[in-house]
Amino acid sequence: MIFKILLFYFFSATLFASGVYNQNILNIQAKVFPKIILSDNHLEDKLQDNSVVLTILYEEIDANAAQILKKSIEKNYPSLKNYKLEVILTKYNDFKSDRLSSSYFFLLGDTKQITQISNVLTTKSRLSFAYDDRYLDFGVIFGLKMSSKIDILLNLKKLKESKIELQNSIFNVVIMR
Amino acid sequence: MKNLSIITQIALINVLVMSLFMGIFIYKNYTLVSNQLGLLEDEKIDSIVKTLVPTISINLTLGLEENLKEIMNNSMAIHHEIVAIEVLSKDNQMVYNSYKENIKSKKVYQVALKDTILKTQIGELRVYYTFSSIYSKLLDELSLFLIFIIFFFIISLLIASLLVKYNLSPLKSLKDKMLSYSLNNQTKFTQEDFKNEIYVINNSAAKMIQKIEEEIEKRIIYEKEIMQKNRLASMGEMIDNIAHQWRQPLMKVNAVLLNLDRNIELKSYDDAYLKEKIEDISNTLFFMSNTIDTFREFLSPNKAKGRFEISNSIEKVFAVLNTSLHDVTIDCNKKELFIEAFESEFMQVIISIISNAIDVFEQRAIEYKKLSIDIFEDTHNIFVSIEDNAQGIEQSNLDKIFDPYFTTKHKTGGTGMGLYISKMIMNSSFGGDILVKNSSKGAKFILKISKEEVL
Repeated sequence: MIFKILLFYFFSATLFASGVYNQNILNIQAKVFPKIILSDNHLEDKLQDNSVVLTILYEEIDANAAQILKKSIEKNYPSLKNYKLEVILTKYNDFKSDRLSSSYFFLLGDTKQITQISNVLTTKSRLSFAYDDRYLDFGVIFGLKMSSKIDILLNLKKLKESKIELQNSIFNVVIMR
Repeated sequence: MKNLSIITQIALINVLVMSLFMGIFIYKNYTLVSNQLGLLEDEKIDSIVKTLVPTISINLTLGLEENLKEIMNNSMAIHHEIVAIEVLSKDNQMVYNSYKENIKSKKVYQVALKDTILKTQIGELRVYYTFSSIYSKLLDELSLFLIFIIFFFIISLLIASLLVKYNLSPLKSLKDKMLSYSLNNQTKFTQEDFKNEIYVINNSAAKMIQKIEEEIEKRIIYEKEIMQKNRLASMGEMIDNIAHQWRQPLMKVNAVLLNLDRNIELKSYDDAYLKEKIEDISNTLFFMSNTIDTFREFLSPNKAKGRFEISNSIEKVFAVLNTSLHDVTIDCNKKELFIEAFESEFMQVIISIISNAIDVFEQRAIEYKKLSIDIFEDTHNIFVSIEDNAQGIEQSNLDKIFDPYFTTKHKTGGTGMGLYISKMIMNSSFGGDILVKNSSKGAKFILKISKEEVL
């Protein structure tokens, strides 16, 4: 009986994850967001052991999606410029503000937690990316929207607050929110 | 060129100069505008591409190739001069392209695409473009302007030609009048009050012709006077000849009458004797009457132009100069040639030449006096050659013998007008001339008579 319950839980979680996340969007985000990290003029100050560290924040239920995203990023970018790229998976609940990564990727999660973490990242001048562009309303800096074309959304207010300086060329492609 | 009329020459020069000017003007303007517009167009394309490159670059940098379609379509929709855009990867593979029309013979702007973050080359952008509508409109405007210029050029050329023609009309009229001018046809050259160069030329020509006419009139009067003088001199000579010719018959008549008178006194006459003497007197008087007729024929001033035989006319001259020629041997070929002219004038010329020969015979005491007269012709002229054996004319006088008042007979009262008038007669009435040269025997005069004038 317990085995049955566990099996049901596992399949439903996998099915849920696959159903909620758009694989195309994930693939594009895996390609676009790491490059944006490089546009940070003060990236060197945010390196860990000379590595760019990208933390993917996820809910327990989205572990599979987070894993897929990690693999996709690592496949696209074995390295970033002259730096090694390290992708770390961290549950929302395990987030700690004392040792921050270079940047953060928000998968689906609780908006209150997202708001709290975003505020922390803003004060620490860390770039943040969201799977869901609505999370820009909760303090995430970058999002992505796909229609007939792909729009990169920028939360300009939060960018200013975070005092992150980006290369000008980024502003040619983003849509300000 | 020299045979063309002045109006045509001016028109040609006008057309040449204006065409040259217009050609250079149009070429310079077209080149200048075309170059300026070309530069503007290049600048415009440069500016378009400069805005396009960052957008494409950042999209390629971020791997957003899907966005290129919209970017390119937007650019081509906004900028009509862009006909195609190609985006190539670093290894020259086509990443994306969009064509509005055929890119053959279109200008191309190539620029490298760089990773905006890593600053490495990631591909190449090729923008194919043509002249913009503004450029075409400006060129159209220029073409229209040039057409207007050409139109005004043609109009101005026509006006200039008409003006030149109008201004040169007095010269043209003067030319026509001069071409058809002769003393007989009363052509009138009028002077105008205008003061430009053309009218000055016209008025000067009119004044000049008026002066020439006055001079010719004076000359004609002068020549008439000379002719009259010469005629009077000739008449004097003729009267002398008549008197000479009459002396013998008068003496004969006188002798017959003396014999008759004596025989009547002696009563030794009969009817036959009287009849014989009367007939003798009658014959002598008839000879004298003939002599008068011959001279009258020559001296008659109102004689009309008529057809006569040259040798016959020369025979008449012999008759007139009968007494002077009694000791001169005359060798004359009597070729039968008729001409239509004033016979008295022809005789006057022959008399003048023969009289001169007779005088020279006397001056130089030539014992055997001979005159050779030859009449011959060619296709256009008839020639009468009169040659004497009086040892010829002095070389220094040869060029002067036809000059007026030139004579070598000062002692015998020569007027120096005979040969001058003879030459004038031959020039004006026979369309010919008198030539003179020395032969081995003496002087040889050749009268040239134009057949066109006398036949």
